[in-house]
Amino acid sequence: MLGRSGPVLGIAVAAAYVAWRLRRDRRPEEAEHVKAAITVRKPRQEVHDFWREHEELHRFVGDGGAVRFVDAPRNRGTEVHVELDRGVPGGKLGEAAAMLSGEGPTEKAKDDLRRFKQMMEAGEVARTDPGQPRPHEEAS
Amino acid sequence: MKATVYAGRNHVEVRDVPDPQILNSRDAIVKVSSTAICGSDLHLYDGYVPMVEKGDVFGHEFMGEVTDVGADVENLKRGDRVVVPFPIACGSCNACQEQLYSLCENSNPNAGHAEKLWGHSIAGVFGYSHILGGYPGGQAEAARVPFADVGPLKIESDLPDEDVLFLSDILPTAYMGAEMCDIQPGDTIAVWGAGPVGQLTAASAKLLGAERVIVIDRFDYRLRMALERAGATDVIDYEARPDVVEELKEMTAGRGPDACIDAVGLEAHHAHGAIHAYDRVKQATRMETERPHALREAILACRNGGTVSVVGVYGGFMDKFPIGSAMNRSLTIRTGQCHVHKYMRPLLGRIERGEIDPSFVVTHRLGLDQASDGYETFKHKRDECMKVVLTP
Repeated sequence: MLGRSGPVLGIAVAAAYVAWRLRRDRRPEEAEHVKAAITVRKPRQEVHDFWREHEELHRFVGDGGAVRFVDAPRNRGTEVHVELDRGVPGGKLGEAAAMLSGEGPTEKAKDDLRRFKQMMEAGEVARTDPGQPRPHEEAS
Repeated sequence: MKATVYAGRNHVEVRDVPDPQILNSRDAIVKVSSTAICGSDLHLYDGYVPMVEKGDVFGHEFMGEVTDVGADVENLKRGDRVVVPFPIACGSCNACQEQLYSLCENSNPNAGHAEKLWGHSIAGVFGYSHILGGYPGGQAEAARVPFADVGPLKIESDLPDEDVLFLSDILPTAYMGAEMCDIQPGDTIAVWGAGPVGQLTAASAKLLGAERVIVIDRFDYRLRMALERAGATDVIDYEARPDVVEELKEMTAGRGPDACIDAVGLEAHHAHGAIHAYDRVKQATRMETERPHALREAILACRNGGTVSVVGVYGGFMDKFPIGSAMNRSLTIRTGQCHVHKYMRPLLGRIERGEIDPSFVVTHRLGLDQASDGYETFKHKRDECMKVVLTP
């Protein structure tokens, strides 16, 4: 029996739901499960050793994360698969904003893997700044 | 130093910018002696390429003298004269090892952005938007050249700049466009666009054994150059003879050309005002990123089982792609940004042996400080402009 109180109750429930969502979305950190992979044109042992030698790569995967090295088919080198939980600043809203800007945890993990591949294959990380010629007043 | 920078749609300025610096150990600094404006620079200039920012230095066709090298560059030294290929390639990834240099997996620092637009990234390119890395270009007094141990081609003969400058882009691009057609003796090849790439595509098709090369454009001076200098056997002025597909059928007794090459890309024109307007409006409102008349026509005109080769630049998405024609008629579509590194040395050999002389396309020689005039003259095809070379 909702009677005349029905719409009022409905509004109250909706308001409570919105308030709960807002509280939840305002949580500063929310872990997102991230999977990313890249192929590196180097033998598996070499990729494995390079990874182990670099402390920052352990931090990148974190405590709960995992990295796997698999031979790539057709002598293409080694597949590096990572899985990790990454915090998203600003919860769901932050996630939406990150998706639009391309700066979410998955994108960040992929960028990190690309830089790892660049270091292993090319010996350096591709870069265009600082010192790139452009007029002083036109910040990139 | 002075450099040509983007200052907003239809506007470039030559401005003072800081000198380029060595940032990585495989870099070199090249003092530019000659640089050209490419048809694809006009796509940037006209505002059709995303992620181009005010202040970006343009230019991906350049050559000059090495003035500095990073610690790991052993093949070059100060004073070497080099032509620089427009894609930036590391030489060691899977793509580079397969000689697909424009698909280098390690040279685009903004690969994530390119993946969002295209599914996968390609190589970084000098002066060609932040999607392709944000590398400052070569329409400047000097440029930083990454992976200098892989890209730049040393010129040890005394050939003038104009004879070898186009090894940086348009000659290899044109040659690859013709090579992708797998030309057999007796073949008829049709080329859409009689700009610099179209001219050199026609010349390359002849070089590779085509019997007949038909060039399609709407500017008389360009069609004349195709006949008189590039070796075209026939031309079609599509404003005078708008039904290009029928014209080509008639010229080939109903078969259609064995291969059709699109050397136009995303800013094509169409003789039929209403059709041009349809794509022009959609492009202006960004509902479609391309005006693909040349490509549609190339597909419809190609003989059953033939090849459509696309070297004109496209950026995003097109409407009304005639997939039914391509599928039902067993067409092969081949395309790509040129893998310049693969072609530079053999094409330098052809230039040295006098088999091809790409310098015939040059019509305008300007100082770097006149770059803005150069862009306007080239864009509006004033003064029978074909190719602008700038010297700092």
